[in-house]
Amino acid sequence: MTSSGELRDQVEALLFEEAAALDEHRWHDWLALFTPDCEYWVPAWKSEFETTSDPDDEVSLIYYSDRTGLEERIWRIESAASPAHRTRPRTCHAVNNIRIDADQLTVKANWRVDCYEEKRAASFFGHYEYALMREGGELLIARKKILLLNDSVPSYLDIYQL
Amino acid sequence: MDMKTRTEPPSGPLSVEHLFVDEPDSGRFNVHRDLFRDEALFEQEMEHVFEASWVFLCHESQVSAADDYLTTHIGRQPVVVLRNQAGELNAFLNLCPHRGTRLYTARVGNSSVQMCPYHAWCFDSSGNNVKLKDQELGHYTREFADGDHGLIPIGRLENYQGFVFGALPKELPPLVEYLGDTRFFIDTFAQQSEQGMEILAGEVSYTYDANWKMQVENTMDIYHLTTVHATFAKIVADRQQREMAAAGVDNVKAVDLNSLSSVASGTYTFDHGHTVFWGTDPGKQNRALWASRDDLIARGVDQLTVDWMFRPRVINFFPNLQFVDSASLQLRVIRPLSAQKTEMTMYCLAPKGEPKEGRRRRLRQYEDFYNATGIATPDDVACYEDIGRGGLAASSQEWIQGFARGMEKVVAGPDELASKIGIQPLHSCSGVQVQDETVFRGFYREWRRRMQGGSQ
Repeated sequence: MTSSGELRDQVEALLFEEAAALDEHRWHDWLALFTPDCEYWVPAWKSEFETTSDPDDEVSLIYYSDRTGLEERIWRIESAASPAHRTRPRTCHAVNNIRIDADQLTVKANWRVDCYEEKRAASFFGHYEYALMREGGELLIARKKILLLNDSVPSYLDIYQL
Repeated sequence: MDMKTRTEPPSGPLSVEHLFVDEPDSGRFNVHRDLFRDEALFEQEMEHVFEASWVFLCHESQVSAADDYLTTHIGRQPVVVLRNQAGELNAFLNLCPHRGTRLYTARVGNSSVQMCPYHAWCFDSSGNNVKLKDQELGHYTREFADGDHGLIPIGRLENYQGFVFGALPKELPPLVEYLGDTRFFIDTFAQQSEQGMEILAGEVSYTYDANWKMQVENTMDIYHLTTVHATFAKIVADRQQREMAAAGVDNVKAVDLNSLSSVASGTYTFDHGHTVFWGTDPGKQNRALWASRDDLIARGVDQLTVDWMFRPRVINFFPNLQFVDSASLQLRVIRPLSAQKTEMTMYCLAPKGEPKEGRRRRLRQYEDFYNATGIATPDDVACYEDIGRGGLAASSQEWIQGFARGMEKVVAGPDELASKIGIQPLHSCSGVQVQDETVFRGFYREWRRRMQGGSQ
């Protein structure tokens, strides 16, 4: 039985490692934190305070029902063949206000990513919702939902800015 | 009179001849780089192109119930589209006639009576002023009391097959005349369901640091597909291979740009600056609509229209709307913000009552390619912005080499396919791997005509 303090330590370690892997371009370390059948979902907004809620009937910004889509994006980032990735921002993830439901093994958190590219700064921010699972002693991400609050995007964004 | 809307006449026609090389006999054509970077020119094109033209406002499904509203812009003018209690659509400037306060603040909403937050003048969904606070105490003149204090209507509003267009001036040809023969292609977007079409929840917008005409060009530009979208094409090919090797499931079945680039395609230029791209999709059985093709025929949609629903195609409606069906159906609304900043608003258009599996596939194909968060559109945007940092930043550079492909192939009038449809384009250019650039000429010639004060 994991104590609540131990669980908090493990959850924070996972979320902070995920953020660091993106900031440090350790793309494959990042992928390894997700289960192969993980759901990765960034809903779109349908009004000022309401996001889309059914990815099979409404538009999402990104929706993947398994890890393949994330693997494709990593391949694309590394390929050196995508004009959108000829330059890439320096990014700085901050993850905070972490709330853990120990029974469900779900986590909510707030996030902010500051980005700097071509002498210009931008930031994105919102809320994370995770469903985690244990494999061996390790926690893995089985589901990640990202609410992007400032969704009128300047130019474009990819997974390292979320 | 205090209700007069303009105290000076609009600025007169411009001389823009020096910004063009257009010698049809020799095939020489060019547009000056200032069209993409000159802020003074930008203000002129807002007035002479956007604010003097039919422009796309919304799809009727976005304002489907009584008292629904949608806020948007015509050029620089804030506009609200309202459906009144009788079910009629009207559009007004989105401002209180009293002091000019913005009235409708949300992107979409529902409001039977909208009160101005400043002095509490109230307006119903027909745009009538239903309350002028403390009017009886206000010692107004008789002339004021007898005047109209309702919302200021725009000049024209018309609906073609659910697509709602508006214009600030009153004196314009009817919308159907403006659309002309592009209606054949719009019908292939409008007639996919007996119950009509709808915009799916989840409007997406992004801005880019480049001129709005970059977007117009890029959506007609087939030449860029195999370079700009090389990573997308490779990802699609890998998915196909994994599925064939039973090593995975292709969740998307996206459009195959490599095979699309090696089969027949073409372009049409129409009156009023509208242009069309069409292609051939060897993977058309992967389109979300494929399962409904027998139903389409059964309910009486003509065979030719149904055949064209399965061709990749783009209609550039002059000046602000793109109907796109390549990766998935998409409406792209262009809002220029300055000479080098543009806002795009993107809608997923779908047949109402679509089977669940088709809807799911449509969405996955849509998100895969499009928007600022897709894996293809960002590569287009990066190229527009790199033109800003390259050729546009170099003020010594006035001309480009971008209108030459297809020049020995383009014909005046209809080609064989156009004749079969029964349409009369001004120019047609078709073939295998022509990847035509002559189609841009029709757009720029209309832009020049409008800037010189030409009416529609």
